[in-house]
Amino acid sequence: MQNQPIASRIPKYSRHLYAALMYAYPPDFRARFGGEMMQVFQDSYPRDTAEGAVLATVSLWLGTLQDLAVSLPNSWCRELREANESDEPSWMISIPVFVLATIVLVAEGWFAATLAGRLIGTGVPGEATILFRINLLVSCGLTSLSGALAVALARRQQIDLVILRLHTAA
Amino acid sequence: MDRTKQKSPEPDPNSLLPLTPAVFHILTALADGERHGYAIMQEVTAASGGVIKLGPGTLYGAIGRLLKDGLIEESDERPDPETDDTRRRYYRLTRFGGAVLAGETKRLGDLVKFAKSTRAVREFKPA
Repeated sequence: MQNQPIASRIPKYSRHLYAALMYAYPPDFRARFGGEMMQVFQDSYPRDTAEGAVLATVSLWLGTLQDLAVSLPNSWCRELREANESDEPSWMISIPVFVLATIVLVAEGWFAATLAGRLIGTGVPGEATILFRINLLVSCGLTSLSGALAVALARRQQIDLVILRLHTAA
Repeated sequence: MDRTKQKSPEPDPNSLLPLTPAVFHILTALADGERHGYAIMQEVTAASGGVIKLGPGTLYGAIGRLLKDGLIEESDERPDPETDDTRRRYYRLTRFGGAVLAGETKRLGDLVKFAKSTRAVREFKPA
């Protein structure tokens, strides 16, 4: 299997990546439609492994990312609205928001720190890079925590309906 | 609890109009019989001349809303495990969904009729 060309392993990687990305959807939505969405993604995948399939794969992923960018906010807004209609506690929304925001912000911060370190060059002391990273991690954590608190408060005060309207208008 | 299967009493079909282009295309794709998700996607792409391409997230987001509003329902039949993937679920239009589709088709028809009667459209000559 070591000599297997990377092109032939791309469909497998793509499936794994899409399966991982589906965890960004609300749990109820994922439980109801996750299997079908995975099936549709596999059906959409280019059949052959010829050179043209690379372009088709890139095209599929561009469409998939566009789909994620549109459907993720929509599905979470629906989840917020439906949770608001029921009497589920606020933390059921704010904790996933907090976890997701932290992961995204920390990954972005880590990437930025690494990139900055490389761009500046080797002249920068290692301690400075570590301090820079710690600073980023702390600020990212605080930002996502405040975001999650804002969501919880917004739910309590019914402000999320205003956010929903703004999102729909945008 | 499966929220998508909750059904409220049938409202006036016109109260759900206008439909978004994606929802209109999904209902149209189901107008002639039940289909699974990928078949709906292909039908929508073909019917719109490639203009509308639904991704899985957008498609099942719309399907979830349509199920909740009672415009479509899941078929009881399951695919044969030997010939098809058992994860596939088939959807069909409900009577209420058909009424909403007919209402939107009439609304669009009236709109096109009105647009054709305007001077700008009558005098427009394609290059």
